[in-house]
Amino acid sequence: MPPQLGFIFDTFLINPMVNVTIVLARVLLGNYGLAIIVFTLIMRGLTLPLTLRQVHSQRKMSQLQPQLNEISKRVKDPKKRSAETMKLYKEAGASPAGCLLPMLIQFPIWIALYQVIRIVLGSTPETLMDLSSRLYPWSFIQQAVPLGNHFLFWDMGKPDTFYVLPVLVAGSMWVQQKLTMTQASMSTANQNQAQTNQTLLWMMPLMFGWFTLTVPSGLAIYWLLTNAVGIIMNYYVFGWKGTSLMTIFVKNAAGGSKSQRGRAGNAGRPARPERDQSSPSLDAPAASRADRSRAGKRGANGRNGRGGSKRKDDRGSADPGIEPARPGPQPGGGGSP
Amino acid sequence: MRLWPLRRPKITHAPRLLALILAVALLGTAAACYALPSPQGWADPVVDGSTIFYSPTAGKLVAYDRTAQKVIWDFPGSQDKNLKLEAIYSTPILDSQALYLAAYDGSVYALDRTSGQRKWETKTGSPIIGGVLLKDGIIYGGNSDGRVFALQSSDGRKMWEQQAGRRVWSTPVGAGSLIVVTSMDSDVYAFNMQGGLVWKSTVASAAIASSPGVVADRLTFGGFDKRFHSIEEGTGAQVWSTAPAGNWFWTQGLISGDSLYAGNLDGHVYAYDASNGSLKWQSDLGSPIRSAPVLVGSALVVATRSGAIHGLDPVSGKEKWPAIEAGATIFANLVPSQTSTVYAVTQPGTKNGAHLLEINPTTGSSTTVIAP
Repeated sequence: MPPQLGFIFDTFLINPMVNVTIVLARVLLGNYGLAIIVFTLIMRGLTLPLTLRQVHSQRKMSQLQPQLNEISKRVKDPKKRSAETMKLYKEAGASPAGCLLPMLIQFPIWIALYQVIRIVLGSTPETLMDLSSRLYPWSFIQQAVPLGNHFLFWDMGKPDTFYVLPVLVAGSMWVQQKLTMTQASMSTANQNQAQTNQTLLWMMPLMFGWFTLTVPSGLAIYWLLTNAVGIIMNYYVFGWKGTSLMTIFVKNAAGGSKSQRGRAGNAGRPARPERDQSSPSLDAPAASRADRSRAGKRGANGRNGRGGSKRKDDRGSADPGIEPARPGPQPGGGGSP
Repeated sequence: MRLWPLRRPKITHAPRLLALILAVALLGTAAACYALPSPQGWADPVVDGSTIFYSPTAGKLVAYDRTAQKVIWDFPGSQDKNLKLEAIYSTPILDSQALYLAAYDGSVYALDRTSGQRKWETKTGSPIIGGVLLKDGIIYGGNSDGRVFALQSSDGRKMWEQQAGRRVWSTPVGAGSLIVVTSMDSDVYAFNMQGGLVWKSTVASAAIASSPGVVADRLTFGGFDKRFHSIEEGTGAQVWSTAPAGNWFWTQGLISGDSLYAGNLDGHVYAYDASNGSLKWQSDLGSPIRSAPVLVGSALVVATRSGAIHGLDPVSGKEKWPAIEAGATIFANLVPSQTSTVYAVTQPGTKNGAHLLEINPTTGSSTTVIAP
């Protein structure tokens, strides 16, 4: 690393992180493991806007997939195809870079945290001596070192010899990736895309699991917590209402329910926009078919399965979590069947 | 649930793939550039006639015949191929029969002085950074778990073991009938010969990595609170503490007459009044100082981390001769010889290994005794 870049990296990233984590450890009874946990939560909080943007961007990208497929089939010229693709992105407000930016911002933090843990825990006299030149001149910090290395049964300055953290990091990353991949991206209607996503779904976790074998346990704990917070964030923002874990992890990957297979017939048609971001309508296209059926039976009054009196021939929606494609009449309103 | 792609996928999702590639590249770079450091060691050289015992590479001790200019033995030798000391921070000590060595692997070894053959080995369970003390046939030391131990020098049998804070990185000293150790939890512990705790001093407010010095009935030591302290030998009560310096003290103080000299990680040498801790002078040498200075003749010889060896006037602190450049890091203490010269050894693990210099403190000239 060039000296100037190293100086900037040290002054504006590593040294502040060294001192912040030591202060946290001092406040948390000298426990550096707790300090890393709190530090992770702080970092996730600071990058929350970017993370939310990333999640939204990823979902938009996935939702545009049928339209992208249509463009690929319709437009043969690569330049025109590229132009239409970018136009579609722009109209939809999606950005491929939106997926990358938060991750790119996290990378220097990971590298810096790797260094910070190595420096702060000072398992060798040489590294402890290096720490002396990085501490801010406050006695609160000076008196805190050296910090204890252990958190639970891990030596924070060394890789996990019990292989628990590699499994946890890989597993949590897999779960997080699974949650961010929408039904559309896993649809069997787009075999290549589904396979690509399957590959990525497994490659990233395995890669990070392998890295965890070689990095200090403290950094592994940071990754684990980062993934855990990401899972909670994804699930809270997009997956609470009406979406079960079974739907995501079993129906999702198996090619899913009848409604999902039925959606294969909708390939190439423009995707319907989501009605409610807080409850992803995984079966929304199927809902539209069910609603058309109900509308035909009800006539102009069109009651939905929720409000008003139940009709004998009203089979309701296939999935209780499905939002109606068209708003029904007010409950209790409408005419007789 | 389909767990694996059925056929080789076409890579069409560029952003995620790019993210994956970047993740691999950057983390791989981080791992390569910032690999977990291995300990190197900084044991002082020991000169016994024409034989010099020193550590040329991490985890290795050699006996070098200066007259014949050849290595007599090394440890671990060919008969100890599976033995990994990792590093040697503690200075070996000698008696009439044996050489005693404490290593980073947590073991104390007794070696035959002439052949290097292992006589006995005692494991303590945690890396040993400080040196060991040999007193009345007992070897005293401390390890990184904070345990202070006493071993029988004839066979390595453990006589007693006590806890002294979280880490003991200093060499125990004998003060009358007491064994005194400083601890990284900022306290000073005094044990009797049977391992009973006599007193504990809490004068310092931060970790203490340096060994205490003993003069008359007082002990002096510097700590990470950036101060030097003097305490009563019999009770541990505070006598004086200096004003804070620029950074940590990691060297043992040198007391000569009414002055105390100590190097600091801020790159300064400080001279204090040994009776009350007031500052006499300070001299900026430009690089952190971990090795203890020596006073030979009329020169205070100090070595810095950068490998520069300075000769200062002990009264004024001014340089007596241009600094000698050893060309590599110096952390080990300077060692005075019986012929009024000073030995300095560079750190093992530096390029080409450690080398040993002999400095004439009168003229400021140096000779390379052992080249890497």
